[in-house]
This record gives sequence, C-alpha cells and structure tokens, in this order.
Amino acid sequence: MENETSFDLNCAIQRWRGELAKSASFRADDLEELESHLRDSESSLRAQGLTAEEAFLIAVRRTGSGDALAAEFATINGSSVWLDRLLWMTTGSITVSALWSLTTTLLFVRTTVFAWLAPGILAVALIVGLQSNVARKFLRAPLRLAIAFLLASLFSVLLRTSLMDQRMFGPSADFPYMQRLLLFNWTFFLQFVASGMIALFMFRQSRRS
Amino acid sequence: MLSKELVAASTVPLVLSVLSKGESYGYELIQNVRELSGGKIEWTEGMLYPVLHWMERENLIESEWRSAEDSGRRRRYYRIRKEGRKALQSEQQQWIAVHTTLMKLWKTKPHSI
Repeated sequence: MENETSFDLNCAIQRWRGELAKSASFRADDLEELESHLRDSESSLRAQGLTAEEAFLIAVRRTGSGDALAAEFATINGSSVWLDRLLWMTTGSITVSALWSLTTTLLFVRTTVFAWLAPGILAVALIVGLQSNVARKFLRAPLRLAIAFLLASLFSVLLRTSLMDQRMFGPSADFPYMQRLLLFNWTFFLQFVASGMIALFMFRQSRRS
Repeated sequence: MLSKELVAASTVPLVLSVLSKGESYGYELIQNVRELSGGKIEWTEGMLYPVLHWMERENLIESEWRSAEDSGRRRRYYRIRKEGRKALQSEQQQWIAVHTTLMKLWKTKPHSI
C-alpha cells in the first residue's frame, strides 16, 4: 500500500522518456507513441493484480533496453539522425565564426546581425521544417535530404562571405555582386555538386531497400 | 518461435492483414497477432514501430493521433490505404504459392520432416 502511494507513475514515465530522448534516434512522435504503448502495457499488467510500480517496471522491461530500441529506430530515422548531426555542426560553426568575428571586428553588430542572422534562422527553420510530418507526406526522404543539404551549403556560403564582405547585405548591399558570388563561387559550386551526388546515392539506396 | 528472417518477411503482410479488417494501434496489433498465432509470434515494440513508420512512408498505411473513446488515452491509430490493399493482394498470392507447394511436398513425404 505504501509503495503504491509513494510511487508516481507519471513521474516515472517522464524519467524513462527523458532517458530515451537523449538518443537522436527517436523523433518526438516516436517517444509519444512508445509512451502510449508503455501506458497500455502498464494498465493491462495492473489489471492482472500488480501494483503500479511492479507493472511499470515489467512494462519497461518488456519494451527492451533503450540502446536496443534506439538502434531499431535509427534504421528508420537514419536521415533524421544525420540531419540532427548536420544541425549541430551548423550550430557549432556559427558559434565559432561568431566568436571569431567578435574578436576581430567591431563591425560585428552590423555585418553579423544584418547579414546572416535572418537567413540563418530561415535556413535552420527550413531544415527543421523538412523533418515535419507535413513535409514527409509530400517529399521522399532523399529529396528532403538533398534540399536540406542545399540549404546548408547556401547558408554556409552566405555566412562565410558575409562575415568578410559588407557588400553582401546591409545598407550598402550590392545585389548584382551577390548574384555573381552565388553563381561563380567555387566552394558553393563544389558543395552543390557534392549534395547532388549524395542525394542521388541516397535515392538509389532507398530504391534498393 | 519464428526465425529472424521469417519475422522480417512476414511482418508487413501480417500488419496489412490485421489492418484490412479495421484500424488499430501498435499495442493492440502486438496483442492481436500474439493471440492469433497462439503465442508463436511475439513482436517487440522496437521491431514493430519502425516497420509501421516505414509502411506509412511507403504509403501502404496512414496514421492519426486520436484519443480513445473509452479511456481517453491518446494513441496513434493506423489504417490501411489503397496501395496497402494492393500490396496485400500480391503478398497473399506469394504466401499461398509457398504454402501450397510446401503442403504438397509434405503430404507426399510426411516421414521425411
């Protein structure tokens, strides 16, 4: 009896879910579904006469270890795991460039904020948006990956050049110059080709499986 | 118990067959198949959900989050789509072909098994 009152099922489930959420293999939707499953499993065990705590422990046990679950979900969420890493890398490079520009130039506020904060937020939002269920309905995984890759490359070019060049954005922006930069910039071109090849490779892989 | 290979091959037709009789959610699917198979087919969550999500991506089935009418619990319900019914038909033909061939072979030589 004491156990039953001191054990908080919602609390225990939140902790269990928090542990799983540490892995990038699960999307929020997956965790929601696993929790609903755990609750079903728990209540059917409790109907057999177990206490809430016993039922919870057995239900968790039956679900399998977090690592094994993560490995199985990673097979289906592979591209989202990859995109997750890409997001972290992008965030990392933004931070490094921001710190670097902060130390080297006092024009930081003008060039940085105007130049890439807005397109940056837009690019990150688009990459995240590509993972949404709406995007999943209309675009196949390789296509979403290719778009995300193109966005990331475009963003990284904008980021790098705008940090060094005030002609890109801001009050003195020179648009024909910007177009030339985007069209003839060799790093952008290389990334464009690379992303195209990766997308093609992913597409063929997904066809095969 | 089924071998790993047979589980991998039979999950999609089994899911499609259960869903062709009406919508269902993960937990219920596992229970349903366990009962129907007399405990011989024991699916795990880690195996089933990725397969369901893959099937949804391939447009064989569709899903919807909804609260259950009796308990009010939020669940993700899966429903078969037209493409799924088509896939089920072709699966049916293939499984029946394997099944009838094996049955014919085993009927003529029952002692060799």
